Amino acid sequence: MSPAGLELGPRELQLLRSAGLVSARGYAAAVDAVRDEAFWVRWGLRALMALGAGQFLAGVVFFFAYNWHDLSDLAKFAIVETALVIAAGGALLVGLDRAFGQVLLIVASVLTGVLLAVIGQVYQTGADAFELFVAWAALILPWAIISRSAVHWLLWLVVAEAALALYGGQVLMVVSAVSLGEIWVLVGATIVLALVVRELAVHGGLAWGSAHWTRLVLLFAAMAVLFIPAAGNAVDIDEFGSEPLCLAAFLLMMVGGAGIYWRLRPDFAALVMVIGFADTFFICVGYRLIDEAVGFGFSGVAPALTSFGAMIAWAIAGTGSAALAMRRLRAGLQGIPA
Amino acid sequence: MTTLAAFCARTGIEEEAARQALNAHAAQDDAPWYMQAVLGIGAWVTAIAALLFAGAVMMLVFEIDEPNLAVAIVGAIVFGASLWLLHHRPEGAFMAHAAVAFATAGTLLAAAGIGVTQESVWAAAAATLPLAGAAIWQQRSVLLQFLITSVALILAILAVWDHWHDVLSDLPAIFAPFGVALLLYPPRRDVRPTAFALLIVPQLLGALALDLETGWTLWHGWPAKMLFLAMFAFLFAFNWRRVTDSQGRLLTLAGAAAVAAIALLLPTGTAAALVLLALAYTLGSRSLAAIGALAEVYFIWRFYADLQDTLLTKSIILMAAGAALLICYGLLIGTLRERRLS
Repeated sequence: MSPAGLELGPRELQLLRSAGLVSARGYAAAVDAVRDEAFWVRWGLRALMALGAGQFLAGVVFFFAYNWHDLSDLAKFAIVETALVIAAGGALLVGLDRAFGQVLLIVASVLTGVLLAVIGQVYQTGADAFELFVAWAALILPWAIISRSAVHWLLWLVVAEAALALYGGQVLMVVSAVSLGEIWVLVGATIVLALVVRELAVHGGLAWGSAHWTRLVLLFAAMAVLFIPAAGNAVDIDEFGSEPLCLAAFLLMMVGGAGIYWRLRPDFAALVMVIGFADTFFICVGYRLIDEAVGFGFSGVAPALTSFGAMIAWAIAGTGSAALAMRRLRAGLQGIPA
Repeated sequence: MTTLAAFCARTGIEEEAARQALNAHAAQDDAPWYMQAVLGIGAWVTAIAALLFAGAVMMLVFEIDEPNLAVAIVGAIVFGASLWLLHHRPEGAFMAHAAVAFATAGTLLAAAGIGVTQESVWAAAAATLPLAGAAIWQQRSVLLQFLITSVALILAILAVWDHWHDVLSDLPAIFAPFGVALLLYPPRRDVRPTAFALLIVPQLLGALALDLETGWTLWHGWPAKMLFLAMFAFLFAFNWRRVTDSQGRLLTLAGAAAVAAIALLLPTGTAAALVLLALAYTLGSRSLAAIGALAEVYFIWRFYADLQDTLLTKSIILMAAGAALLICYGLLIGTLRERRLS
């Protein structure tokens, strides 16, 4: 920070206060000079609306919770369906090119799930939970397609992934067709697929899905879902199973992610995410190796000091290397927009 | 955002002096937050392993079974060494996070050593005070300042609860005015982390404790509510100068009255969250805005489980409060639109 055009924020204001250039009494005036008045007026209005709407809706929910058991089945359906029609109709009226219209359509998608849950409760269909999620994902897919909203697609993906995970747990695992580890890998692989589709679509000119956060959210979700079974196997948690597959999937994701966001689509934040998961996995592997070689515990002086000492050295080696890698990558990627 | 030149022109501060003050801190590590988070995880894992190592040495080599004065002294030494590290090797997020982790562990060891020896939570809280002072005095790590002052606050509150053998549910309210004052009239030393701790940690501790047991509330929580209302009124007065025309002032007053009514009707935590939101608006702080919004959602959700009223009463209160706020919002939007048209 040195140019005359330097922009000021709270941190810089505090530095000026610490230097004695701004007095305690004059701090309010200094805040006024730095604070983005137009933004905070907008924020204030939206906060007022959110507070009002949130409290009103919470009151409505409390009211129905109070009466829910006494309501007839017809009334229950009428309430949810009316809200659903209002939300979907409102979205059409307002238009999907406006943020409020998109929010209304998302509300309609959420209410579709609520409606399915009420159907299950009233008719005691005996259906598995995955069937509800499959139906939910199928019903809201057309809305997701027309919404042109990344948030709506994210909601759809969460519902679809939940359906897949539940199908694996409630059907495939019951007939011993797959292990828990394989289900995690399957879910992770479908999130990777969504990430690939996102990258290709954005490369092809899709504007509404190009926000940087969409890449980071999908990458984080994919890495986390693949990391859990791999790390679970690394620290010897038996329930996952399929150790080679889980390990291979995670390593493939790591190498692929690092290659793509280093060379093909340079993105420092995405690379940091990959390096962070790699470092954490490296620490998990170290824990397993030391545990098997020496064993953690306070039973004897020599094993206790050796194991904890080795763990310290291992963690420093892992995170130190990660720090070094990030520093070099940062210098190399400086100035390249994500 | 405002540029330095525009800021100096508006406030009358000499630009060259301001640039020098800002440049003096430019050399510090400016790694982005996500990079700091990754290095932080590694540093904290390392620190935990190191603490287990130290624990093994104390238990197995020196045969210390429970915290005593020696543990307290070791804790103070670890804290001091970590501060030294922060001052002499400030570059690098890994080193900084490791130092913060060790300093926090040192504080906990010192508190445990004194507290267990004296069999008193007060003594443990008192032991953390000089360390909290040192954490405020050092200006290298805001995280360290936040953590150590939080430990001191938590122990002080626990000591009071232990003294009265009960969870005093409104006690956290006492700390909030100090947080507000430190943020609005800051001293030259950066105490923003302490102010955040004063505003957030007691509320969080109170909410957690009340999840575990019923607690005791003074006069149905009215003193705490009035304290928060007084803070809200102060913040409102602080912002009053920003509204210039009479119609705008009238509507702002109506909005403030509606918000105040909500603070009175809903549980105390909601009033605390409203103070955070008002403070966020006053200072232009996005982090306070996010914390305030989360707190508001949490306390409304908690209201559901409040056994003092029936769900019907609570639903009427919430709907009325929400409707009042929405009316104010509609009026404000209408006024802004009229002004834009004219």
